[in-house]
Amino acid sequence: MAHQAHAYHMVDPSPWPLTGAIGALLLTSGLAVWFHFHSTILLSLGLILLLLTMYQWWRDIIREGTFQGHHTPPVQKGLRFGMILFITSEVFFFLGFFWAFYHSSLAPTPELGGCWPPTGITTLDPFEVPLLNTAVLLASGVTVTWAHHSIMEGERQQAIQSLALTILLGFYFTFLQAMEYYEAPFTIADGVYGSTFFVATGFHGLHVIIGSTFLAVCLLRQIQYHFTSEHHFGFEAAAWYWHFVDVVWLFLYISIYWWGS
Amino acid sequence: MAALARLSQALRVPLRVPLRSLTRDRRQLSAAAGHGHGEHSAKTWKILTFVVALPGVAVCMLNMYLKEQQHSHEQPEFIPYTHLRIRSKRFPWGDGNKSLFHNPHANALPDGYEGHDE
Amino acid sequence: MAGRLLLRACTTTTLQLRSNVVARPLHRAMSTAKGIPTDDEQATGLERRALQALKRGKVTTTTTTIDTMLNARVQSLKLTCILFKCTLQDPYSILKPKKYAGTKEEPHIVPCTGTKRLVGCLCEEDNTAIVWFWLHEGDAQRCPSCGSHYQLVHNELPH
Repeated sequence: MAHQAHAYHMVDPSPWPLTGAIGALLLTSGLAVWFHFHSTILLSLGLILLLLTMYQWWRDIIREGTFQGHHTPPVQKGLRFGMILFITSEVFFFLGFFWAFYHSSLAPTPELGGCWPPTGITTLDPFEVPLLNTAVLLASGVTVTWAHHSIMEGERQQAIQSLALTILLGFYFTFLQAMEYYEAPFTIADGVYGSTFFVATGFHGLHVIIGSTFLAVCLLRQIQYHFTSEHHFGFEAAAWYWHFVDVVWLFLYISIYWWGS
Repeated sequence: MAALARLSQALRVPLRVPLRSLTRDRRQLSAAAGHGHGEHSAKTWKILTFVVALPGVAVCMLNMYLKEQQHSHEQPEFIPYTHLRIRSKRFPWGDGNKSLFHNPHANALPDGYEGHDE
Repeated sequence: MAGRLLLRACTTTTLQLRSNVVARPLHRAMSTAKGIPTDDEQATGLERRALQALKRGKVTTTTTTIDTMLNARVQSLKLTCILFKCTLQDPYSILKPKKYAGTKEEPHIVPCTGTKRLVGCLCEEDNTAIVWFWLHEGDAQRCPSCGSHYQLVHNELPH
């Protein structure tokens, strides 16, 4: 490789941004086609393309960062800013759902009976499963911090145990939410209450699944000795994301489950 | 009794250590503490996990279990409100009349609970 | 994985064999025994070079700069030292940049990886118009508007 007088990463040409963009287009148009014409061909195609892109792009990044040493301190700084901006955009994504919820619930329309929760809606008790969910996510926030300190102190066994525990707690949360969805006495078709509830908590659940996957990748990479005690940004990003998901849940719990019932 | 003896022994041991090695130990300790996040923070978080976080989850599980015991499982009376059970368009799955997490016991269809028809 | 196990076995046996072990291998053996490698042990490629450069605090110079340095050796050395200090204290460029007086004795240090760099001078506080000019390697240059001194200094450190 030619001598490089700066510490930045000059990325090689890659097909993944293009396939990712096509995947996103197919996914969104596929969803519309599915909703309107009940055909899943385009949707499946988009999903497959997106999953393949994700796998191969992230594989390439791991190769560049861990095995080729392209993630120098200034490059890591860029990755940090990128992750911060991404999480900020996610915050605004959820802000939209909270806006919809408060718009509908602070001044309920006459059609709902002028009250919140709307007439005829039996809500979930916030002090049963949702409280357990809160405890599970807060506990996973503690275990992920334990994992981070273990990595920084070079404690391999503890890092693997705590990371595995975090992922297990994530799966337990997903399982509890699925049970709650099945047991819920209202559905997504039950007016604006059902819409706001299931869209907000559903997207949160999706983010828990994404965060668990992210942490699971970190666990595999930890087992494969990818991380050093100083350089483990993949894990740090996953931990940031996990904390973000945790905080969104706290707001969901307080607003939709507790105040909204 | 044995524990008490062990405790008193543990308390007495440092007194026998010469002063010089004691000060050296302390210097090493303070040097270790100066390392950014501290040397034993993983241990702290491990303790927090097992003493605070997981027992917290266990308490909430118990709370959930106890509260679930008191539940009555009777269906609320079906009233065909216009703002509920909206079917402006078919769901893209199944027969298009049931939500994705449909529970025949808890979720009524637009014309009432399923069990009542049979 | 196998190599790592071999390395671990080797270090522990050497530790057992020799009673007076030098500090560095002992430190390495301890970090390896806990299982997670350090950047010293595992970082590779450009990352390794950047980290080593940061550790040494060394600014590599081209031959042209050495010629310039020969003309004003003491001054140039001082500038290079100032640059090290900043980069060492703040390798991620997160802190506020160091302020220079801009006088002949203490010019604004402009780190550069090439032979020239575009510089924008604010001249005085709250100025809304920026004076742009090219700063070339060699002796210090002055801002065409306010006369502040600017000195190009080579470095290969992340800045």
